[in-house]
Amino acid sequence: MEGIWNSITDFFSGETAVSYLQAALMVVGGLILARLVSGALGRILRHAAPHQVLIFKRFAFYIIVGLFFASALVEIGFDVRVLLGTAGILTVALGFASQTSASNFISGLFLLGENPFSVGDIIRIGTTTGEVLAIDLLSVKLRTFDNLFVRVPNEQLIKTEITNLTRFPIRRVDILLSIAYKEDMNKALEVLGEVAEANELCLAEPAPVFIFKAFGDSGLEFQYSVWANRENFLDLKNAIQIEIKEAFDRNGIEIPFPHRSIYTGAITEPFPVRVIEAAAYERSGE
Amino acid sequence: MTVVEPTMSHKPTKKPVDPWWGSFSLDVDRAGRWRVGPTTIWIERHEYEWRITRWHEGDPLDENTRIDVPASMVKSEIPTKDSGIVVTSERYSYEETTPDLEVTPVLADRPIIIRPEEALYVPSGETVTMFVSTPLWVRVEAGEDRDLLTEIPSYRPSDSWFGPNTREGELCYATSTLARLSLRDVPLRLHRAVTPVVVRNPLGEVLSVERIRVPVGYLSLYRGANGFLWTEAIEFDRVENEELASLSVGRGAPRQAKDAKRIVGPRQTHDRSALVRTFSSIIHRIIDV
Repeated sequence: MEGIWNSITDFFSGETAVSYLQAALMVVGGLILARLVSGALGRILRHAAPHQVLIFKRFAFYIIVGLFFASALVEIGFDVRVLLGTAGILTVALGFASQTSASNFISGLFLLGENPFSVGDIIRIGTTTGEVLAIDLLSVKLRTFDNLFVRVPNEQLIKTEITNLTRFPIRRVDILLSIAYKEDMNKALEVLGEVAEANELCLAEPAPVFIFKAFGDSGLEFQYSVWANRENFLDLKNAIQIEIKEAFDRNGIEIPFPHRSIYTGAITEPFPVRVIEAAAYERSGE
Repeated sequence: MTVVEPTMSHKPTKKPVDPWWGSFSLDVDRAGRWRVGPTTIWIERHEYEWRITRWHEGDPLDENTRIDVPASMVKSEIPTKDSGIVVTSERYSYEETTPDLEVTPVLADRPIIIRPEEALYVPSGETVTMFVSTPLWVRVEAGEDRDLLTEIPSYRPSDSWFGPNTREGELCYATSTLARLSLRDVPLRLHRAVTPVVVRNPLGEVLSVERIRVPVGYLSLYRGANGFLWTEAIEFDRVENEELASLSVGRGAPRQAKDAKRIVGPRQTHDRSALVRTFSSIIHRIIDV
């Protein structure tokens, strides 16, 4: 018991304690300095893209902390050369073990250089659409519109197609329509033009686009595309389709649904039809 | 009650038409009603709030301007839901409201693209002056410090994009114009301001004026001798490049309304002369399948 006590008192009174204390101070000092430097970097680079600033700040932080930590290790008697030597071997081992992380890391660097989107943009990757919360070295974090958090590895982003929905200031709303064969196409176009003109959110220029698609199964199929300011895209998309339906109803233009003619298999006998009197129908209670 | 009758004469009449703007004083639980072109604005003062109700009805070009201050609080005139007219209501809360109410006409908050309804050409060496009118916004301020409550368009034109392509440019308003060349033909409307636009074509080719971007943000409002509103004249000199023109904003009231008094300053300041994209907004026809 006394032996242990002696060794404890020896530790605190000897040089070892002082060097341990110095090492601890170094780590704490390093942390404070790293924080100050990364804060200053944030202020200096305030005009750069937010995610790039974030990466710079993190790099500065970890490099400073790393240097101070290494100095602290030297202080308490570690031989850094041995450590670096070990680190070399460790790197090879780690490299094999962490291929995915390394690939993500390198993809992240490419992504930062290419800058296809920035924090706050709305992007679509595969079937996921969401707002970019953060662009980190290993992954990109998204918030989808149903408020889910999605982490997409950078490696996947490099390989797949990304659509940035908010890069350009205006967007086009494509409306697929069809009208019955008996209708006058020119009349329908005139009505569509009036609807587009009456809607304030629909841009006068670029002018709406009409594209004839096909003589479909049930009617004439075409696309009518109107432009909107990016912020008004959804409002216009909803409003204009309702307005088109109303305008078509007002002008007696039929929007067809699938029609099917049924034959009995030969051009001979028609289907037998039985007529039920309205009164009899009601009596039956159906 | 003031009823403003539209007149079709630009000659200074003996008595100018009464303005719909100015300083007003409203007691608690009283209201005022402003009909400015197709827009009706109903402003109520309560003890702790201002309530602004507005709706649009009728033809945007109809002259139908009248004010009714103070109006009774009978709200039977406010359209019901069944009428199909969209009625918007807003409340502005105060610790305690004061009677001061300021209603001011202002020009639109974005540039306006005007497109002549029929093709208009300016031959080589010619100078043309056309008169275009743009809708006014109604600025409502309340309180001793004139706190801005809202700005309401008397007629909200459609949005439009003006730029070399769909990636760069600016959001504007679009309106078509008859681009009248004679002052006599310009109808007088109290909810619109007339801007004389001078286009000079010193080059050897005919200039087709398909659209003109009128930077209303740089313009002030002037009240002419007959009571109607003008802005400074703007002049475009076509330069070598087909799309660009040098723009200069005239100093003071336009020549056509010399006695006009400035009532509202511009929203933005700019250097008097600038080279701007004016006539053309080259948006290539979208090729799609």
